[in-house]
Amino acid sequence: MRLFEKSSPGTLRVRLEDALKHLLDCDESGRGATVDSLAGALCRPRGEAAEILGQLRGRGLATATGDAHHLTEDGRLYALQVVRTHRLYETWLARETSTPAVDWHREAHKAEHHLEAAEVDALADRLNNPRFDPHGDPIPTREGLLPRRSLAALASWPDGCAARIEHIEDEPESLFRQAEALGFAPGTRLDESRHLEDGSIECLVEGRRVIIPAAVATLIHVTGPAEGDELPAGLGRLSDLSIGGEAVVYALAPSCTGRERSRLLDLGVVPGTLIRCEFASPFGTPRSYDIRGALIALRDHQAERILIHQPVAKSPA
Amino acid sequence: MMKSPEDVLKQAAELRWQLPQNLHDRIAESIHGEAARIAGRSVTRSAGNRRLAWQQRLDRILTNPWTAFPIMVAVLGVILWLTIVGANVPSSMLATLLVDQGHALLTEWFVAAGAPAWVKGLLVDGMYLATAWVIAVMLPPMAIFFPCFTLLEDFGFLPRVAFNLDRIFQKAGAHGKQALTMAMGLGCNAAGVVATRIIDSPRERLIAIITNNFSLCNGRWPTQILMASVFIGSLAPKGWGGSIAALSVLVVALLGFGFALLTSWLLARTVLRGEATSFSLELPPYRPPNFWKTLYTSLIDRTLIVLWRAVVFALPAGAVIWLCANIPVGDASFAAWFVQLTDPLAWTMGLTGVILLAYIVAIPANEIVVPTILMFTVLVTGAAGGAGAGVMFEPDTETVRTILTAGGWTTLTAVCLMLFSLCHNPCSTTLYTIYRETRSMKWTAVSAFLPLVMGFVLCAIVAAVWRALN
Repeated sequence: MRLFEKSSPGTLRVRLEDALKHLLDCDESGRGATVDSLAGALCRPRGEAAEILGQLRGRGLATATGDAHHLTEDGRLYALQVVRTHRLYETWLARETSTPAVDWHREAHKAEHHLEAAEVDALADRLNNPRFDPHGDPIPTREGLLPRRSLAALASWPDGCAARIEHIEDEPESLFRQAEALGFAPGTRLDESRHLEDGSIECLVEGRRVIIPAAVATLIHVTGPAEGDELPAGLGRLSDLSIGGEAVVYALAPSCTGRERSRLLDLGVVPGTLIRCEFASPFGTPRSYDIRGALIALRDHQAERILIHQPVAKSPA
Repeated sequence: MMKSPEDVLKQAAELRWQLPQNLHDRIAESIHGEAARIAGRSVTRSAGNRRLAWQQRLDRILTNPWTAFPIMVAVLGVILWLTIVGANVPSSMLATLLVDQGHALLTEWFVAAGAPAWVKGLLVDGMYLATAWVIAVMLPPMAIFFPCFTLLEDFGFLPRVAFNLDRIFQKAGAHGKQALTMAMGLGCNAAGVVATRIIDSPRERLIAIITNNFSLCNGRWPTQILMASVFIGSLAPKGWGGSIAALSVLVVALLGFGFALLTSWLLARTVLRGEATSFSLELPPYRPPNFWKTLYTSLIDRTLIVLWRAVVFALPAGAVIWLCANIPVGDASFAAWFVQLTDPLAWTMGLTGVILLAYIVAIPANEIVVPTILMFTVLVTGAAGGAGAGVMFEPDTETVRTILTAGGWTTLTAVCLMLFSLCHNPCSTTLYTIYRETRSMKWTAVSAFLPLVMGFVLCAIVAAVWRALN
């Protein structure tokens, strides 16, 4: 790909838009962008970074005070539009395609420079104007509004306090892959967290004890759970139910999204449904479950996204 | 205090961000939950919804690690046996009627009407005969295989097969229901491709479509069985020929299953990367199938539609085959020239130029590969037997051996032909069906060339190793 970049017509647009995103990042965090920081962010030589900044100034998208560059109002709106495209595209990938999560960022990075504003708005309409992308990042509105949120790093969250994941950074990819493998998604609840000596964090996630390596924890930002959001006692996962056992659905895990989620809801896997595990296939997975009188086979990685609790004797309604 | 609409909208836009992230999911969840509660209150069920005891026991037997696989293999074996053996009688009746008597009658009429030889050749020897072959060879097995298959489906057995095999397909990045479409492909790949509609995820469905060709369809069973009995069975000690031949066909069919898994695995890791999503398979209660209705619908829906498409493609193919054998280029027919030119290439794959030519002109239907090969071999070698240039025929096993040996065939040729018959492009009926189902030239091309390239490589390797060892 790099071989052809010099001659392809879209190159300049790609460079400028990537530079705008870098300036937006810098403005958000309150430091100015410099030739060096831009060269680092784009992985290009200093000379080229300086030229790109010159282009941005020439187009009235950025201003310079000394070394530091800041976005103008036009530049900010343009940068937000690029961010909006990226995050909407990721949302679309997550909800309507079966693209693996690790590829979302890369695909969206390609698409953000090609989609026109009208296409992006059409995409937003189709997705019902989502507010957050699948990583938990807010999506700028079409008017260019992006709320500021105060999230805490998971590493700094006090031991023993319940937390809800609000955002998972998708880079570096290898770490994001680990977070994904743990079944984490925005909305996932962490309980009884405890820092271990090596910096990793042990906590209770959807009925299972999990150890989050220190490096993976740096990707994760959390807030406190919403008020009145109490977990039932004995919360577990359907995949952990023994054969012949019965349980009641508490909820679908936040990591269960898109088609998979609607399919399960259609099958009647809704809060309050009584499920009984009937038998397993010769290889152990999939297993079959009696759901509302129908025998449905589910793979383990799906069943572990269905949160259950033990049936309680109900008073006759 | 009155607020202006702009203020209200602005306030709404701000408040929107304060709602929890997964609000939509929660709303959908509670709507579904409410619907379930309403249904639970107002719908009365006649019986308890626990499953019947005998059904539970049957499920336990059919999904037990020790009994599941022997049962599945046995059921598949019985169906294939019924199809192959049961189709023999009606097939030979149809062949006598359409090929022997019909062809002779039409020839008489054309001669009596004073039609020029080339008109009679093109229409009767080419188009009519090819179509008659396809119907005679294809109709009886399909009329047996598809109803059997549908009966098992209706009874509830096939979903359990998908359930049992899902883990293997999951490892290959595919869907468990692919097991069903592959079993369907044993009858006809075009029907197998249509059957992939039961897979709801587009990615896994595409994998199932592309790899369906590795299920040996019943147009290819005759080729396999003939090659195995003529060349491989004869290597075995007396009395074992039949069993060894049957075993070798089974090995090829199992190899096809292995290739389908391997190809699925490769596709799922390269061009069709993605997550195994939304697997849910309903295991319906066992129920006695409605025999006559099943017979009727599977005859109409599957057999006749597939047969009709095959006939549509066989007519022009017949014309092409006759023309190949009868259009002179210089001092020999086009077929002879083609065979001479491609022989060296075919040799590296352990095949002959005749086989390559037969596979090109017989793209419309695998059923006519063997008759075409025999006809071209007689044409090219001038061996005794045969029914004239461009006229397809299929004599008994001994004559086949004589003709093919005269054409320079060895056991290696037979082995490579068996492998090539497993690994080559799907027939045009299947390709057309793939295009109709995927609406994509790209995936149709992939389905055509992927197995073809695999077949070339596989045959070349086998031929090279064989020659190095001998």
